[in-house]
Amino acid sequence: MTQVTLPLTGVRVLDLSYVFAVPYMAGLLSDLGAEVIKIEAPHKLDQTRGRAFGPYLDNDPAQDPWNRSGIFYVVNRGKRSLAMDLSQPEGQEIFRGLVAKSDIVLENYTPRVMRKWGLNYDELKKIKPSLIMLSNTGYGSTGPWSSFPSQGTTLEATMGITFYTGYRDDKPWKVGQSYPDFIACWAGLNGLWAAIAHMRKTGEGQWIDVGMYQLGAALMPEPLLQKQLDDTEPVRMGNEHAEHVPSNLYQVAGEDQWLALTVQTDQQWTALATLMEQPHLALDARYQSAEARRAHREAINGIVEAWCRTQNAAEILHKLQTQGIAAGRVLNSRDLLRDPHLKHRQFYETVQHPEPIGARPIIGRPYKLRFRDAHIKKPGPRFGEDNDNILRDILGKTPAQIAALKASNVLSDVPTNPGISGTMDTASMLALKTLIAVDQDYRAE
Amino acid sequence: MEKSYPDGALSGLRVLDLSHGIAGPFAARLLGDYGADVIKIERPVSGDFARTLAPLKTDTPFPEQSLLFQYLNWNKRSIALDLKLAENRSVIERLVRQSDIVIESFRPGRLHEWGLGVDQLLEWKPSLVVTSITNYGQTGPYAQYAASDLTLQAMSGIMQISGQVDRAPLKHGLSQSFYCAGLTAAYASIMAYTAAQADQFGEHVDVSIHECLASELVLNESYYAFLGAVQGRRATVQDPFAGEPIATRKGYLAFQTGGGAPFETLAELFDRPEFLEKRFSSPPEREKRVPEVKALLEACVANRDAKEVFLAGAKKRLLLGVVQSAEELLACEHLQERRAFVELEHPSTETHMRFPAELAKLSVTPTSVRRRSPKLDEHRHEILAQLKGAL
Repeated sequence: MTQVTLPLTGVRVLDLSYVFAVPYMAGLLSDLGAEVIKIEAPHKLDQTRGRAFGPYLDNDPAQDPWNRSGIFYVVNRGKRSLAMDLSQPEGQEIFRGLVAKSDIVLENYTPRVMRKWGLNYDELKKIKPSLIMLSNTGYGSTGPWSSFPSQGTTLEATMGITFYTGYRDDKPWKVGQSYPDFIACWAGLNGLWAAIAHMRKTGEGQWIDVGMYQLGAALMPEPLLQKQLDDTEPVRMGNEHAEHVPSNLYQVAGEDQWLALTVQTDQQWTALATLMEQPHLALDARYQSAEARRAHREAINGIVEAWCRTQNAAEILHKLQTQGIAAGRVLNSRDLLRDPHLKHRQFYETVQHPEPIGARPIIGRPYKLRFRDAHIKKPGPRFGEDNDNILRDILGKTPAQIAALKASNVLSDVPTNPGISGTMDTASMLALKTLIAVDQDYRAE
Repeated sequence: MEKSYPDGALSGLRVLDLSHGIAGPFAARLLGDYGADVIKIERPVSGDFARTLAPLKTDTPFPEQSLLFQYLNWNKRSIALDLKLAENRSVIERLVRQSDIVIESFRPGRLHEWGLGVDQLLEWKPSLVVTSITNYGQTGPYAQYAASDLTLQAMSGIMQISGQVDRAPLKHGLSQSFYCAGLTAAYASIMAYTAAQADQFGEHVDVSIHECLASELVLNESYYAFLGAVQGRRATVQDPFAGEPIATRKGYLAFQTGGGAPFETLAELFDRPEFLEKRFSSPPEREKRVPEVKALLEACVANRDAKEVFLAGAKKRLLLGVVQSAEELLACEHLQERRAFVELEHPSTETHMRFPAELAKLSVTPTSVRRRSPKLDEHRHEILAQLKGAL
């Protein structure tokens, strides 16, 4: 009987990265068995440990805010933390020692930084020929924009998707939360897994150069091709679809409740007309074909909107689905954590963190494996949590050597420049409606 | 000097693409870009329904009109086979036995009804990876739900936090969900293949498009999981340093703080010393007077062109974005230099177009576009002859 194994058991990953894209890649690799060591600079806190993103547990920064940030624990689950200064020669020496005993290096410094430290791929490959390294930057390591600074939020505009996003007749809109980081995370994992497959076959490592900016084009072939075909561009149309009518978001009964539906065939239009108890609409020549419905977009939106206003979202969602019509509701974070489907699929995994955080639901993976047990193997680390163990167990450093590294600030158990912390002003956010609720009993979930 | 393997990281692999639409074919194509030999099985007569998706080149007959199909299916060979028919079973069996990865996107249960369920496929080839890409995954109460890009974005939570508090929730433009799922399905397939190579035990990878989107909401989820806060949409007047596009004389800019954005640089770029004052440079102070900050920034760019400010600012290391359309991407000097586009010939007219091709640069196993997308059933004889030779 064959023993089924996770693909990264016994693989060690050094993760030098910050914020979302690459840290998330590394977190997802740990779910597949890898030992991931997050190397954090004592003087430069990962933004996800800080005030900018938070949120701190119960909105309380306490004495060690860097160990209380929720988003950090989602993205960095399964990792160990080594808080070490790579800008110092001793830090670089330790890092080279770790590279000799590791398989993958992930980083997202700007192109010049790793070179300045002598830690670029060509140098590291001399230490370990099978090493795979991934560098994720805003614009990649080559090209005229390669030294431009970037983060997901502004890249979303530059990469093109924002131009096609937004309400009808309004300016372009940014949507979601740092979307380019997640595209980069998945695209990076593609390159990484291709490199792993190649390494297992040939023993040869390689360097993966991800430039986030160019990923946008790959996700918007429609306007790129349309522009070349007839020199036109799709217009921003909110939640509507260029071809399917109706396909829109409609307000339903209750406070701020929204139903999304998309009619893709004439048959579905007939079914919708029957559901709305307006069967004559199915026979109306103005609406009978897809082309006709496109010509009467506004009228149809009006009809569906008027009907939806009085309906209960859950009920009509069920009825529409029974008819094979694509329908969904706008779910919020509370809805998602309670969602019966996601519960059934165990999409959120309950991870036991040390107190005071305790057991919390953490986003798992967007795929299930039937035979292999991919899972979040441990909570994200506290800052510098594994400093001593990593240096002792992997590099054989003595307690005296470790103490000396701490004395010279190469190694630290607390951030030396944590920046400002603070609470989130939930009262004004509630007033502005950028928060719609703060549940005191959220831990019951 | 590194060795180079121009055939790609996945050369020697065979992928059977039974999928249709965007997500599955995109995933299978990405495997092809890494060097895998991809055989696409399409429904006879009409083929993959993506052959009807816009933009359409209407001066050529169906089923070769769709430019989107071309983008999603290069590096593949096509054979038209009805998977339902018993007479095709032995061909399908032989194709499966010679494959490493099968990608499919039928409704959960459909392949099983046709006698081609995962158990059957694994019986034929025990080390096979089957990747299923569906709206909500193979299991759970929503497994049979119909969906569109819109309904998936709604159900994922993305729309809840997008748009303006006093307007409707807002989706990402175009068809983002399906590309997101394609990216995920591709890497998960290579991952499972790598695992299967190590222990000779196959796998069924069940990708949920909905969960791909829900996976993006790492901040939204932790707001609730760590303090019970339910996020809403964006304020009527947003912090102008949070990426909201700001109009210039020509085009829109997006500004961002973070990474210690130097307000000295803003002051210098716009010749506005006000930015140095604490009311603008300190985040908590700035948050107290959002409309004032926004008005100042708007005034700074009102008489300038977005791209010019973007280039000037980025050179000074400001976190800046410029809203670009397809036209601007096609003309972008940086994408040109990075060779982000490839030019391909249309299968049945001789027109050439540029397609976005490379995602990331792999130093020894570069990705490649080796053949244009196939015409429906174009490679029937070649594929069948190959099968015969193998027996």
